Amino acid sequence: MKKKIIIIAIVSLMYLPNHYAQSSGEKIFYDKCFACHTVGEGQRVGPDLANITTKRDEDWLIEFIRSSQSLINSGDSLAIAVYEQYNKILMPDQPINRNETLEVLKYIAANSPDPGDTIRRTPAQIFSAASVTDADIQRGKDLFEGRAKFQNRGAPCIVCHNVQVPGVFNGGLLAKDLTTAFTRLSPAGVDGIVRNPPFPAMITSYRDNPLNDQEIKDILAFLYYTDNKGIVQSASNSGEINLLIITIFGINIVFLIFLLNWRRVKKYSVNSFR
Amino acid sequence: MNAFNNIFFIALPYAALLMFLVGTIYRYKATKFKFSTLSSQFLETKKLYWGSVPFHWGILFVFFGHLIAFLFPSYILLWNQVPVRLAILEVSAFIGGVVALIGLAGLFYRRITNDRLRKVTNYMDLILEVLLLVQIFLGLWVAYGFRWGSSWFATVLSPYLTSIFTFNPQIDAVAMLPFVIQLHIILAFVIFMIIPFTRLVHVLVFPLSYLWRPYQKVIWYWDRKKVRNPNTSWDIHRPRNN
Repeated sequence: MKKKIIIIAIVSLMYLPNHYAQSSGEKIFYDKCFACHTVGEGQRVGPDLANITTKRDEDWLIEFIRSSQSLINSGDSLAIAVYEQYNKILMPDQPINRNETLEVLKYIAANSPDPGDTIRRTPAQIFSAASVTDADIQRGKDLFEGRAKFQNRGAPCIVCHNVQVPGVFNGGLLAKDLTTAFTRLSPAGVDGIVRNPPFPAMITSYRDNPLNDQEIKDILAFLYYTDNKGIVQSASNSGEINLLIITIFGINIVFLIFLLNWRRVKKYSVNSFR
Repeated sequence: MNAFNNIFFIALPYAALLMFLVGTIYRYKATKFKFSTLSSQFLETKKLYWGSVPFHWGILFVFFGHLIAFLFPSYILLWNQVPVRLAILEVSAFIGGVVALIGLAGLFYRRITNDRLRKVTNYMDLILEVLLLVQIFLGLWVAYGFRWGSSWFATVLSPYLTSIFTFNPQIDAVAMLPFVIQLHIILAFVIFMIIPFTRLVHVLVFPLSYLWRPYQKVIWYWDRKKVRNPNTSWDIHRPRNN
């Protein structure tokens, strides 16, 4: 019996290091924070986190990272100010424990550049409106709608997202409408989210099949296009109405088939002497 | 919120699976002859046809749609690649759902209004029918309100269900879904859980073997020619069930 317990203990220990090896600050930062934040490389969807550990109280940071929404709802003025400043985009709650959060903060502190020595990735490196061509937009549209496949077989954006642009098929309504994503999130923000999704549903979809650089550029070009063209003329919902009419028609057809079959169905349970 | 997610998306599925397995075996061993749909066709036939037939065609179509999306998510995405095909799939699934809802509503009405049926109705029948009604309604709501469910099922829910069946539950994505979808998922597990204790057990004993069993020859004991002789008038009551 004792021997068995020892063996089980050894086997479980063998699995433990794997499990905990992931919780180093850097890994968590790139998994969870990098999509919206940089350390010293400028603002994305969220603030640049360089030297954040010296600017803010540690407990406040931990609380904010755990659930910024609860902090805002509790009326914390600092949290509300941050929320207001960054376009009222709520930071998703992060399912990491206190120790992991401390690891991330340690990583940020260690990697924060001295003020005055910031190396920034210029927005032009991510996206430049001047260089966008119609071909880029078309490729982006095809990828978005799923007419062209992503190289790593990720799901097309239209599965969950809608854009209100004439000529684009109605998109899904599970996630945010992306018509004006470009202005809402900035090119760097969209790039960050697509490159390193912070949202669980997107993580599930793209963890094992990320987009390549060219595909991200094409998607950015398409979203740039929708941002400029979208909602100019309110997208008509005639497509939706057509689907509704077809649905009602289909239901009637199905019942018609049942009605035709009704003729050869036994009408009475047992021999009826009426 | 964490407790909510853990209870309903990790504990509940496993409780449902366990209860389904143990309950089914127990019921089959304990009350073998009640392990059926307990048909009420003898008691009432007409309304049964207009309830049961639409319900079963609709629910089977929708159920196998869910099953295929769960088992072959990549093929669903491949199919949905062309917008027209996506629309065809979504519309036919929606039609299936509506037909099932109409059928089930009819069956529910029939069960609570017919005196003969009330005699053979137990609480579990009513609970099950109400649960199914709510479940189908929620499904239609999800399909309409959060459209292209066939696609995002494949990318969001298939991985979750797979993670449940591989004993490595990943609930991050499910935890972030809108509440209506969560409720649809939770209710699915609840219905799955109570299968052994309801008429739903009939899905487990569907007589598939009828498809390949040998023909049965029916031999009448009485002289059929005598009865069917058109030259003589009927001296017994004429069967009226056809």
